[in-house]
Order: sequence, then structure tokens, then C-alpha cells
Amino acid sequence: MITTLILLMLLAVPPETALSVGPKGPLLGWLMRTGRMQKRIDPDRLQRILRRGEALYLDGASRSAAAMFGSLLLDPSFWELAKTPSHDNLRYDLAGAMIQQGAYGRARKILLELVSRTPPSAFRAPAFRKLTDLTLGSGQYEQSLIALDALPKGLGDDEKDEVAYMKGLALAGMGYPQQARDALEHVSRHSRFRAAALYLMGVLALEQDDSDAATRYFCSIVRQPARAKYTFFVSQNTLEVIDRAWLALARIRHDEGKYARAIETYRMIARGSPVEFEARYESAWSLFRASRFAEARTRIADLIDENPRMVDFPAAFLLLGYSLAGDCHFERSRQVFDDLEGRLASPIEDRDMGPDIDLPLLPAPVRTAVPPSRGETAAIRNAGRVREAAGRAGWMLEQLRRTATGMPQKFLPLPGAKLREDLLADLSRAEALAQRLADLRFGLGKGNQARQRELDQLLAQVVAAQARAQNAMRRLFEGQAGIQPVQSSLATDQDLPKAYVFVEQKEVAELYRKLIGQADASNRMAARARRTWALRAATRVRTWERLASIGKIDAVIGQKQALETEVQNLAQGRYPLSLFKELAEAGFVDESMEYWPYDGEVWPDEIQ
Amino acid sequence: MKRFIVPATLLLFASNLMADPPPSEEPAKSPTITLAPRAPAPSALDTKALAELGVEHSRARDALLAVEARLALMAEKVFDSRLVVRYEGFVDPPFELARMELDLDGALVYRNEFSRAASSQNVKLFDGHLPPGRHVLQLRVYARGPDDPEGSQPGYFAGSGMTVHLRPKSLCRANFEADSEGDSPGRAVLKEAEPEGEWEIDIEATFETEAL
Repeated sequence: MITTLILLMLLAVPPETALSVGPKGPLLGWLMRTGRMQKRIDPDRLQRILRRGEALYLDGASRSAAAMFGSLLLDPSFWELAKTPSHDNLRYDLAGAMIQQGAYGRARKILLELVSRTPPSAFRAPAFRKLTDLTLGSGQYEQSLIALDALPKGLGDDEKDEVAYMKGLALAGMGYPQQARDALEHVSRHSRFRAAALYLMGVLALEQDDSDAATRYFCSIVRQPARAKYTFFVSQNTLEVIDRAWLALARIRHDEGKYARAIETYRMIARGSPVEFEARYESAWSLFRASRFAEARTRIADLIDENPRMVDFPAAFLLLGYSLAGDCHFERSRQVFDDLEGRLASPIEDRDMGPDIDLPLLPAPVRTAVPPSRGETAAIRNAGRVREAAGRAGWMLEQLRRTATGMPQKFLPLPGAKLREDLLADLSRAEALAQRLADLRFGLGKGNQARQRELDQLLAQVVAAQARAQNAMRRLFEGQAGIQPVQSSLATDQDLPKAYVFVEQKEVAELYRKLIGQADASNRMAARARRTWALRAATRVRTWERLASIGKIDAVIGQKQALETEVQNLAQGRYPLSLFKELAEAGFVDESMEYWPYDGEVWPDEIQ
Repeated sequence: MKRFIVPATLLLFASNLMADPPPSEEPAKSPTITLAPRAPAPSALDTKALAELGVEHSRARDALLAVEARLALMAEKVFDSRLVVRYEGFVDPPFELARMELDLDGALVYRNEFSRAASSQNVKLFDGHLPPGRHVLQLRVYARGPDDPEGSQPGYFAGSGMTVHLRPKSLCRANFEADSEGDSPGRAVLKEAEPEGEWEIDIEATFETEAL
């Protein structure tokens, strides 16, 4: 009778929580068998826990919030409330926390379920928007768009706008600019993405060499209608999009040679905007092109003073040097180029090491001047995230082993825990030492090649030791994942779900193994990204160094030409006022003598 | 007579330089607006493989959170021992809280990057059910000085930790209380002949247990 009841209850559970092969079945079965489910349906309790979880989530603790929401969703005590607004709220919050944690697949499934619910869920609209945010954040356009296409019911207007924006971005990323523009045209002015869609269409038009269309798109973003209202929905990021549109317009005008208009356009970007520094830096270039050297010099000097570690700072120094030379300040110009050469140090270009070893190739100033690209950043971050996930799987294995003994209070270290700690410390020390050696090597300058070679050899040894420690660590992890799950326990079946704990240990060990494999692959990818970044940076640094030395030559030539011109002037009797003064002091010019000083412009009698 | 003989020569000279800049100068001269590159250069990163790795890892994260949810449910139903960790702190301006991390038994459970954070913070870092017994908490606080760029690594770091002992059927509240002050060696200070700076932070860690 009881078994029949349990079976009936299991059949009544919602599809997403239905029992499946794996640890969930034994756990839920044990909860029901031992009567640990709440007898009375308690919506208030669900609300209370929900509020607690939401506070946690808003404080940024998405991991424990996701575990809390996930356990609530699993808990058979609340299955009766499955289609109530509180339960939908729970699913919505769970999806949000999972997105924060990078668990996109399950989050997408939950959100799609909320969107496709009949009768419609009260959370349909926010769930749809969250699904869009998930897609834009993860870049998983294909998965989301295919799932949305398969929805049985039609979409509302706002939802169509969101889909059009996602399609536009996906097509643009795949290299179909015209199709992307066509899709983005469908984003209506009521959508939160209208301004962003216009901006993107402008960018795509520029990529298709259609600067007139691009200008139209950007102007439609920044245009202020007569009644001072924007003609599209103003969302959270609209102000930034407007600033970016001004920046884009200024760049178009600069490229067309309309420097005065470009300078005016750059001025439209407000102080405190995320693109303020970019705008000030680029407007200095426009001023330079417009031959307004003094203004360009002031602007770029202010920027360097305010933010000496800005991206592309060597180009800013070059601009400062040339704007000084433009006004004949050759000595100061040469000093700026000298200063730039001193700040740059060529990264290691190629080394006799394996291609996938993690090397500290870039000195700090170069890291600042040439930041990693989006792909490189993603690869480096991904490796860290996988390591963190593997650490969590190891933590779970440890918790399960403690639980499985039936005496969790008793500390039971995982075999190899001490070795793991030591290896982690060694790896950390090796990394710090390698970076220090690399910095020392960069700081030596070009003159001391013998010392550089010595440091290179030392660095190679440290890096090789680091690789050996990493391999040992991987072997240790694999060993830990292979430890047999604890079966014997002091607890009775009434006190502990032993079947669940046993199956879960196997499941987590498998996951741990998978994550170790992923960590290997992502470490290789991160090392490759660092190498790509280093090679790109080396190319740019060499170019800047070459430009700085050309700048120095220019400054010397300029100084020489200035001197030659001065000599020619003297030979032709064009004496400057300072010389007349010296001659007067020496008694060669008396008060009755008429003289016309030459100050490099015109003779006084020509000023009419 | 013509004016500006010397400047004109130099301007002509400078314009010659500008007219034929090396290719790498172009981006600064004429900033471009582009999307991600369409086809990777020979030495570029394999973005397709990177995306595949991302999707694979996302699946692993799905599985991880599912396990955590089951573990939390089991710990609640079997032991009913709950741990709540909170941080209450004041970071004295001009310093600014940049990042906070909490490790539970060596695994990261909380990490948050702050942008223009308020000087006073009251944050719940963890709330969940765990097996009873000994658990180690380690907190790391990172701050940024007044002239540190927004995207750069925060330059100031402090850590604290404690061990808590969870009892069955009880709630353990762990608190980290931080108070900091100091003078950062900002741009104005660094211009002085003998710049100096300091950042002092006191973090007090306590826990208390109450029966449920």
C-alpha cells in the first residue's frame, strides 16, 4: 500500500523534477520513505525561504542562493505549490542565480518552461528578458534561438523585439552584416534594445563602407527632438550608447578630415562617461591634425598626468612628442621620446619551450599598453573558472565522504590532502618567482645581454619546475577522483540516505574527473592566449620603439634645420631683437640708429 | 616677406611624417569601430574551440549546481545544521572596496567584484545547510586606492579566517567585522619628494550558535 502511494506521488511530480536515473531518485525515495517531507502544505514557509535566498542573491552570493533555491525546487514538500506564483518566483530566482554561476543550460530550460507555461505564468515577461540577457551574456545564440523557435505559442511584441536583437547580434558575429542589419531593423522603438540596435546597425554600415548610412544611424541616437524626448525607449544603458554614438560620429568626421567638426563632436561626450578618456585622447589627435599643437599638447599632457597607465599610452607619448616638435620645442620633444623608450621593454618573443606552458611573458607597462583581446581574456578567465569548479567538486567529495561515515563531526581528510596543499603552495611560489624573474629581465634593458641570457635560463628552469608540479597535481587529482566511495557507515538507513550518498559519491567523482580533463584543455587554451597576446604586444612594442627612435631623429633634424635657418637669417641681415639688444649693450648700436628686428615672422614695415 | 620660415619648414617636415606613418600608428590616428574578427589570423586564438570549451564547462556547472542542491537538501533533512556568514565593514575613503572572496573548507563560495562600492557594507556571504562538525572560513578583502584605474588589479589586500563548529539542529552565525583607515599614496602624494602611504584594516571574526 505504502509503495503504491509512493509510486503515485512520484508520478504526480512535475516533469522537470521527475525521478531519473542517478542520485536524485534514491534521495527523494529516502525522504518519502522516512517521512521527512512536511505533511502540511506551507506557502508561507516557501515565501520566507524565498525572501532569504533573494537577499543572499542580491548580496552577490549566487552560489549559496542557487543551492538554496535548487534544494527548494527538489523538496517534495513544495511540489503541491508547483504552479503557484511563489513557485514560479522560485524558478525565476533559481535561473538568475544559475546564470550568475555560469550554468546556462539548466537556467535556459527553467526560463523556457516559464515562458511556455499554459496558462501563462506571471513571470513570463521577466523570464523572457532574463533569457535574452542569458543569451547575450553567454554568446549561446544558437541554443536559445532554436529553443525559442520551437515554442508552441506565438510571441508578443516585446518578445519579438528581443528575438530580433538576438538574431541581429548572432548574424553579425557570424559575418552576415546585411542580414544582421535587416534583423535589427525589426527592433521597434519601444524595445529596450532600440538604441543599441541603431548603434550596431551603424557599426555594421561602417564595416560595409557605408559611412552615410552609419552617420544616419548614429545621428538618430543622439538627436534631441524638439520636445526634448527621445524617440525610443530609454533603458539602463541608453546614456552609454548615446556617448558611444557621439564617439563614433567624431571618429567618422576625423577620418573624413573634418577635424574641427570632430573636435566639436568629441566635446559632446560628458565628463564621467565610460568613454571620456577615449574621447579626450582621440580629440587630441584631431587637434594635432588640425595643426593646433599647443592645445593637443595640453590635452594629451593632462591625460597622461591623470592616467599614466592608460591603454595605448605609448601612442599618447608619441603624440605629445610630435606636438612639441610641431611648435619647435625640439629639446623637450626629444626628452619625451627618450622617456617613452625607457618605459617600453620588449617582451620575450619566442623561447625554446613548449607552446602550452604558462609563461609570464609581459612586463607590467606592456600589459597596460596592450591589453588582451576579448577572446584572450575569455580564455584566461575560463581556465580560472574551471579550476574553481574542480575545487568545488573536490569539496563536495570531501563533504560526502564525511557524511558517508555517519560521523560527520569527525574530521576525515581526503587522502593526499597534505600533498595537494604543498603542491598548491609550490605552484604559487613558482608563479611569483617566474614573474619576478621576468620583471628583472625586462628591467635590465638592452645593454646587458649576457645577464639577460642568465635570467632567461633561470626562468626556463622555474617554468619547467612549474610544469612538473602541475603534472603532479593533475595526477593527484585523478587519484583522488578514483578513490572508492565509502559504503560502510555507522548510521542506520533511517538516519542517513546511504544509497543516495553512495551513488552521489560516484557521480561527483565522475564530474571531478571530467573537470580535471576540462582544466587541462582550458589551461592549454589560456597558455595559447597568453602567447598570442605576447606576440601581438611584442609587435606593437617594436613599432612604438621604432617610432620613438624616428621621433628622436626628427627632433634632432628639426633642431638642426632651425639652426640653419637662423644662420641664413643672420647672413641676410635679419637680426632678431635679442641680438640688437646685445649689440646695443656692447655699444655697436647707438640711440640715433634705426633698426628693424626680425622675429621670424615679417618685417615691421610689412605689417599693414 | 614670408613669415614663419622656421615653423613652416618644420610643419612641412611634420606633415611629411604624418603623411607616411607606419601602419601601427593608424589605429590611434583614425580610431576604428569593429565587431569581433570574422576569420582568425593564422596565429590567432581558436575562438571556435574556446566557445566549445565554454559550452562544455557550462554543462559541468549545471551538474555541479544540481549536486549542490541535492547535498543542501540532504544536509537540511538529515542534520538541520545551518551556517550563515556575514561581513560588516567600513572601508575609509579614499580607499574603495574592490573585491571580496570567501572560502569554505578551501573551496570558493563567494566572490564579488564591486564597482564604486559604498564605504560601508553589510553583506551576507553564505547561508546554507552543511554537515555538522568543523568548517574553515577564510575571507579575503581587496581595496583600490583613489588613483588606481577602475579596471586594474586592486592594490590593497587583507585576509582573515576562523574555524566554526556546527552542531546538529542548530544555527551558527559567523561574522566578519572590518574597520579600515589610512592615506593612500595617490597621485598628489607621489609628486612629493618623499611620498608615503598606509592602509590599516582590522577584521574581527566571531561566531555564535543557537539551537533551532
